[in-house]
Amino acid sequence: MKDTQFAINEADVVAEVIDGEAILINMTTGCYYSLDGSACEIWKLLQMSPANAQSLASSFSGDHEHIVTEVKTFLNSLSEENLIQPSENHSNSLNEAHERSQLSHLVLNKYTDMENLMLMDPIHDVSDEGWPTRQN
Amino acid sequence: MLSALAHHPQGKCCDHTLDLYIWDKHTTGIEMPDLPMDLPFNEGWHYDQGRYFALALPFQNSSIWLDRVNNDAIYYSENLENINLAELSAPFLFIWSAWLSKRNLLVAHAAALQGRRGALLLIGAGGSGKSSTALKSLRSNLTYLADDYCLIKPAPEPTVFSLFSSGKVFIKDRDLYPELESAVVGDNGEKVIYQFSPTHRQKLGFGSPITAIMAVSRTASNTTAIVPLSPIASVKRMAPNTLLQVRYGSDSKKVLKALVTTIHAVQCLDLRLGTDRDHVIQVLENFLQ
Repeated sequence: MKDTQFAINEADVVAEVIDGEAILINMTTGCYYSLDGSACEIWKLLQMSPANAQSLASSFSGDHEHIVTEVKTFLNSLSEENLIQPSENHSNSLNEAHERSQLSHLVLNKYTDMENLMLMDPIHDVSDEGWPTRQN
Repeated sequence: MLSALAHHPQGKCCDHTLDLYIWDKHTTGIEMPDLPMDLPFNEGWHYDQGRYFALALPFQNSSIWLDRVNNDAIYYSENLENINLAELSAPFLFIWSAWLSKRNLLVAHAAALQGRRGALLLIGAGGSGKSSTALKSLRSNLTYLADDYCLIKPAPEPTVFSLFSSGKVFIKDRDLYPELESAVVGDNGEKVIYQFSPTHRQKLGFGSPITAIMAVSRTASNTTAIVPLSPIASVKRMAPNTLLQVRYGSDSKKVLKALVTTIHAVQCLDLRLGTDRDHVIQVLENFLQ
């Protein structure tokens, strides 16, 4: 599995971390999510800087290769939900800023009860250029 | 169109005013001109670039236009006689959201009631019992503030204000509220819609500091109980609803931050509704009076 560097999809996702738990809302799909434990820690690290599984895994103690595999799987699940996107941007070093903890089971809790709001009637974002192009 | 706003005081109360023009193509015979850009055909679109905000809602055959610098807004409708009940119960919702968000006020998806100790914000998913709980204030010593949408001034002094004087309840529960029959204006096939001004004018309030946020849920128990709720659980019950239902006109990231700080500034509770409706009223009156 390729180790892609990811960044948070700032355009579509709003998120807050409260008392060790992250709540994420994808404003284009209407789905919302919660992350706790190590999953929340990874999200907080991504809020600081784009990162790949290798660099994120370094923030946790234990069998590094196993942790990298777990983190890669978790990042893919975030990516599939369009919560994060591949990023070429420079990433800051995460190790100094983060005290290592043991990796807990990485779970992305997904809630779809608001999804129908977005599916019923699509509302397109329009820029100054119109949608999708400006009329001459 | 203005019935749900009729409970607000008339006349100028402060320096913040918005001139709202209601443009009905049917009665004026004047159609909105085409914009000089390609737009989605027969689908909704949304524009928000600082000064100007616009939102087209084809399923309502209407569009709204706001100039945040000149404080002018236009509500354009193909035919005001065909306005649906949802629009009538929450008129110009996105104009309020887009204009008031710049004045540190946010439109929240919540019900609200008021007593001597302040206001209760009732949050929860559709069908959780928020609306029916708010309606119970109309037969109690409490005051009705909101059913679906209200205005919140975030922390450090969290306050809730009434926006609309409308309410609704599932059609199957209509007979449980005989005292509200005079306020019925119609139904949308699923819910009965009420307009409480002027029929219940004396029971309508305008706003109050928030004493607590209560997440509402139904139980099979006879009695109603109030138990503590963590801030994160309150955020989960409130934020997605507000951000997704009122997603136009405001900065979602700022709204979420404001909701989180507000939730942390007040008491968060779980209102577990019992089947004894009189006991629900008693519990809320004891809490707020």
